[in-house]
Amino acid sequence: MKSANIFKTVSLLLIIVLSSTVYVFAEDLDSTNYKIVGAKTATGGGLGDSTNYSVISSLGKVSADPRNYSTNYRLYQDPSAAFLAAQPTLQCFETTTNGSTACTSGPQELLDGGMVAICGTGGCYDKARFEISASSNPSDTLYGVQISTDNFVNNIQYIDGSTFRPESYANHNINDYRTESVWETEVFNIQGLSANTQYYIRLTALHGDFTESDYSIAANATTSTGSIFFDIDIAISTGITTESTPPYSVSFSSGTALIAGAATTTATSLAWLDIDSSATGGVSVIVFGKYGGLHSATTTQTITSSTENLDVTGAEGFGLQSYYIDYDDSSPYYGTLTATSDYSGNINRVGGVSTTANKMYSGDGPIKAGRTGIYLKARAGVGITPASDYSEEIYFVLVPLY
Amino acid sequence: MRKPSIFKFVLAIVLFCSLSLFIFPSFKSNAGALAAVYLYLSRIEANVAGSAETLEIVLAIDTGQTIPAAGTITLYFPDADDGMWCRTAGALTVTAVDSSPADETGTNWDIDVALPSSGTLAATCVKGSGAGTVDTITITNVGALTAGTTYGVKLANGSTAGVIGTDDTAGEHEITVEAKSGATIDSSTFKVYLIANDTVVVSATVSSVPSVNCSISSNTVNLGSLYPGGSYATGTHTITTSTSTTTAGYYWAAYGEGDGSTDAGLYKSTATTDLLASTGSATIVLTGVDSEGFGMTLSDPDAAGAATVVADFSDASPGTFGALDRAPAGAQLILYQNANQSSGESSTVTYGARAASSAQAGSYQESVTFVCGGYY
Repeated sequence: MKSANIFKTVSLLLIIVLSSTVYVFAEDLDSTNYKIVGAKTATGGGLGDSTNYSVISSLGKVSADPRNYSTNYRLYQDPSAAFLAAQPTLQCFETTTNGSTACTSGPQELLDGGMVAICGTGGCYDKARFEISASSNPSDTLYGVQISTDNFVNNIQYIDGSTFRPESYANHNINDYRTESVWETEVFNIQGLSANTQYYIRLTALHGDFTESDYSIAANATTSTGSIFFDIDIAISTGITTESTPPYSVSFSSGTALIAGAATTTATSLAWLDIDSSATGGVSVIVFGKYGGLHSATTTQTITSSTENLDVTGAEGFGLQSYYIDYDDSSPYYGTLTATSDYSGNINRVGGVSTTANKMYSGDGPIKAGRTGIYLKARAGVGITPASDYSEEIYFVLVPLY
Repeated sequence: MRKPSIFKFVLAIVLFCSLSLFIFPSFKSNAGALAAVYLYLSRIEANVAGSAETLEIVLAIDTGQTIPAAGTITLYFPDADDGMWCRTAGALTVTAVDSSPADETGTNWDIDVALPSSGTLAATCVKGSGAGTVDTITITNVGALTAGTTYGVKLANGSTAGVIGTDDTAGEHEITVEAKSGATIDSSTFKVYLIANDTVVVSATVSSVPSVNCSISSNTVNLGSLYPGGSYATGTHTITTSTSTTTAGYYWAAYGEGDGSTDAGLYKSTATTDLLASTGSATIVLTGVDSEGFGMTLSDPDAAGAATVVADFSDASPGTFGALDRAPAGAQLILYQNANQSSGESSTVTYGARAASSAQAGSYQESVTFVCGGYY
């Protein structure tokens, strides 16, 4: 008899595990103090018997699960369902929407232009935004977020309620359940994603102990591959939109030839840069030269480049000065593009082009439609021997900060 | 009698569930995305081959979770770029760095410390070969990486074999960076951009200081004796000019002194004073009957060349001379050229004077001042 009791207990637990959505009761279940007698079920439920055991399944009261509704039918559930939080739905889960959005509580730029308006060209490559449709849950309901790359088959993680990054089940705890307000106040409430990856998310709602709802229907979105573009052009100072093809060259000759001992000369042509990047951290534009100045193989002399004021009496040198900066600043979520201090001088203050790299421009977020123009200025000292083969090769490097 | 069959059924379910835990273990991911990363390529030009032009790579990496010691960091390049990023397989030079020009101060993209080692850092590049294998650069013996700290490391060609370069196609290229130690993995895939030409070539001509060299062959000219009512007399000297190639041209101007008040010309300063005036500001003709006066002409230094004698002072009409004015305020342009003159060229200055019958006998003198300069 003892073994039979153990068997009874095990079989009951197994049935519950294998059929979590159907609540099972044994007819005339005995315990020391209680007995359930004459249980009945509503339509859809029923009794099941074996020699030793009986089960009763019941489809109870009004469901809190919106999936159980249709126009003409409503699936009833067990009365215990009334104690669970209402199953939420996802208002939106977006990464690359462009021009429109299903989100409703994000920043105005998002509402007007989709995720591209807050992540830059191509949309978000490492983050996303979701919003919650709370169903009938009160505002202090907590929500947990599960995320997967295979629609919850093998890859299942959770969103950390503080860092908003995916975390493992082992690190998942009650602190990762947040109210709708907390989740949605964070513009990018899912971060640390991989580029060009499809993600699925689903939610549960929790409003008190043991009340966690079933998961919402999953939504999915794919992160972008990221976007980056860089280009060099050579044009005069009005060539803001001019595009040119390589090789790129700038000359101090004829009317702009350098004269030993004379004042600073500014080259007629400027170096222009096109910069576009969706990198979250922005960009760095690096510059360095082959010789560290204008070098002549004939005279073996070099007009050394350094950060200096070429108007100082007796000055000699060569350098760059940022003349023009423009970028799309229509969204506060886009970055700004600025010249570093060495290259931000006026009149004839220039930043050096040395053989070691220096940062010339810095972007602090996604840069859209960036365009910069750069003056090249030089002054030959009285000790510079005339020659026509002074030259320098200036290298520009764009470094996106992901 | 039914009990055994139910027991078997339940037992089968128990076994199934138990086996399921082994056959289909629940997934516990230790993989995540990097919190911050950048790859600073010293050159972003396509097809930097690593020999004549070399490439250095600075990797800044901030992991999203702590990566235990004795791990690796691997860069995976696109499958289509096989043999481009790793030009020659082998050991690379790896240097832990605590800063780079690309650092963005005060952000996660600012290298905090040099990449730690667990032993001695080493790096190797391996060439991909065909679909499914890619160029890789793997850094080994990496020390523990703490989330929230940005580490820096620089890669360059090895001292013997390993050579790195860039792909030969301009545009976007996806690179994956993976930090791994055991089952703990953080990785991110991002793009770098190569352009066809990353270089602006600046050329410059340095010219000498612009200069003009002017000379007068003689400071005195004796016109000899003038006879009242007689014909005009002449005397000559030359003026010579050269310039540097950086000079745009030259000019000569002249003015006289005369009697010090009324006009230029040959002046007898002793009693009874007299002035053979260089009247007017155009020309003076000394061929007329009983005419009187003083003037000068210049020859064209180069005939059909760039030098030009001002018309009033042309020597084309014998007996007609250009009239001088007095004092610096009366200086007149007499010769100019709107081009540099690297070799000296000369013009002959001819003075002409004639005394009318009323002229006073005595010694006459005029000081003609020449002014020479350059156009720059």
